[in-house]
Amino acid sequence: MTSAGARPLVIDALTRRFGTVTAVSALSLEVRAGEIVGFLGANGAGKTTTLRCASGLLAPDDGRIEVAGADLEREPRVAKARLGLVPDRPFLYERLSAREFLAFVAALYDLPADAAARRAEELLARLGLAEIASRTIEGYSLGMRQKTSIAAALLHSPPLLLLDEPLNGLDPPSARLLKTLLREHAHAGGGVLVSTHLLDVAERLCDRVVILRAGRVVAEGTLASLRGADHERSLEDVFMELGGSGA
Amino acid sequence: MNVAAVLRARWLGTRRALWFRGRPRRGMVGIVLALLMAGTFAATFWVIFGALETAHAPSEARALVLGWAFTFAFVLLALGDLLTVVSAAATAPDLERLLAAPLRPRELLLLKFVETLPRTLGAVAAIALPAAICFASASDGVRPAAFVVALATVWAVPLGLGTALAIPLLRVAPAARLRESVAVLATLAFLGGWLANTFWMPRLLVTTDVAARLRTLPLLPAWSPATWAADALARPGERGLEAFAACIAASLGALALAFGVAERMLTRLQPGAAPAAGTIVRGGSRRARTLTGALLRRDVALFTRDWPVLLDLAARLLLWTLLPLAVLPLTPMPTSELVRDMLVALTLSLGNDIGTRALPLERHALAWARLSPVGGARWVLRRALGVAGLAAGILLAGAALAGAALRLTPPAILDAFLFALPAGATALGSGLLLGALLADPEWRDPRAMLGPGGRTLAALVMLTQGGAWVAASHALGANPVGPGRLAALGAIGAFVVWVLLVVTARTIERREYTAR
Repeated sequence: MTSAGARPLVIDALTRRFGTVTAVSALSLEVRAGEIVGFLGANGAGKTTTLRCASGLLAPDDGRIEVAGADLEREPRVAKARLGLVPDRPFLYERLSAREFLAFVAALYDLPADAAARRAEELLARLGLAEIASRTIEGYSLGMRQKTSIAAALLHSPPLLLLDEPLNGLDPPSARLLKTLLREHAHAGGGVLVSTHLLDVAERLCDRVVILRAGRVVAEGTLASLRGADHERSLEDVFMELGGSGA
Repeated sequence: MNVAAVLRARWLGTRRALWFRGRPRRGMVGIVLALLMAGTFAATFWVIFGALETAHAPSEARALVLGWAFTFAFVLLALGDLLTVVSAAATAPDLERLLAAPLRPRELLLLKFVETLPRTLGAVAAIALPAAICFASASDGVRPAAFVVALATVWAVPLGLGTALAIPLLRVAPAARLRESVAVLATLAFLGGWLANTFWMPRLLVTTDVAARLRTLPLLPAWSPATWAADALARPGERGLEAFAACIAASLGALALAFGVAERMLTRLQPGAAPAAGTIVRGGSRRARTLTGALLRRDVALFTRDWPVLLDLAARLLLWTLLPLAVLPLTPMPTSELVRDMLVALTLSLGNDIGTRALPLERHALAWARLSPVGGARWVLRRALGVAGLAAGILLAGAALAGAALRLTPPAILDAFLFALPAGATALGSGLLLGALLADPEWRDPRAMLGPGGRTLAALVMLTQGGAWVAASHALGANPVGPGRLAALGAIGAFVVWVLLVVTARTIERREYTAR
């Protein structure tokens, strides 16, 4: 499915405007196979816009996005089949059960029905949703909805996972489980781009972080490289210096 | 509480919903629609009271018409206010904050009354006020105090009773479910009122003896605040004064009841804390083998499980199908033309009520059309197949029922059905396009899946299409449409539908997901 050796995500000089406001300006970044990249920035820095552009929900005004070797503009269906998105606000059908919803998503991604059913049951069980999976989503809590959304993104085992504040509404065990799932996904050769406000999570989970400010990348690298010579500095110190004082 | 500061914030919010940065905003559409509605009711009442004056009808007859107008507004308001209070509890983003603030329950209720004033005054301004003005202009000796008290009663009593009923209900039932149930009740009340009005009004207008026709109107219930309001305005002497006093007592009593209930129960209300528990569904593990199967299965589940939407659709389909019967006394027509017109009306409802809602029904999950590797064309085509299958079944059933009831021969029924088929297809196509263009993914009322502007545009498109198809049907008269014309209509319909679906697919493909 993925072009051999292709990087899960390459964003090159992405620009996106809303009227007179430039939300993202000439942003470039990449996510390599087996890597979890943390996407940090203050409110309004352009993280959600970038993730929405990378997933095809928004069209860029300028720049190029490549998902696992497929150009999102020229081969949108191929590129979209290679990514999974966990949005900040899940896209769910309230009157479907989680099981029905995952069956529907499997059909969208043209997965073989039986294999998809097995994969869905496996994810539902791991995420602790198996017992309520036959209940319609309208009765789910915020955390359950988020977990359903995570299951939908992982269902087709995409080379690229994009997650926008995925820990919202998750209890500590679920948050830990999600981190394990992301780590497993990366170990299997996938790439992960995760936006979060939780700097300690980024510090412990991510191989690399990208810090965004006013729609531009202001720093990028491993935590060690961002700390520089001062090993006592935390990610919070780095973030506050570079991107934390607002958009 | 700093009442002035709080009210100022509310006023700013309201003003910006209407007019902001030198431009009209979305809220303005509601005002324009309310004015249009008020204008329509004013014209209707002007004609009715004018006819009564010309016919020298007794004052009892005028009081009866005024009483029924007030009763109609009263019933709509009673359900509407219940819905408003339940919605304010279920969906208002600020209720939690207000409950946490050091406010007395009566202060909180007062704030909510002020905030919802445009909604609770809507039916008064659109129905009761035009009726009262038209009555006063056609009658002598209407007292200004009675005028004000009558209208205040029509506003205050439903509001007080609706609030007093909603607060305890919200403590025992999930707000979302309660809101849906009340919305359905409102639809049924509207259906009842519409049917009664549709069959009675044309017959009143064509009659030569208005007073005699009015005598066929049922008497008003004696113990209704709407009756008291009408009597206070229309009856002279002691009976009018008694009604005037009853109006004041009822209004004060209803508001006191609302504040009393609020004082006891409002602070124990948990806004949005009791969501629907979720229904256990069977068969979730059955997998669709194809994309078409998956989309159809999803559509069936969404429609059949959203029973307020389903009931609303059924009510509307019935209303539109029966509409041509209402104009029969004014314009006699052959039975075959009547059945054709009924089916055309039904198809327009299919387009307006099913077509326009097919895509918005998905709410924010419509984002999957852009997120998944399914192109807009495939998404829309399969969606169109689903609604076309549903619509064709309804149309066939409608043709069979109407044809059998009006004793048409099977070939004539088939002729009428085939005539209505391209009308239905084009109505569905335009409905899908309007839904794709103007969907409101945040809709809460099943009748408002498009924004106010979208609904107005959809209604205009529907009326334009209806006018064209009814004109074509009228030109044919009692004659059958015939195979040649049917083939031509079918070809034109197919071409128009193809164009509409292509544009809809492009709209879906280009529609960006910008919601927060």
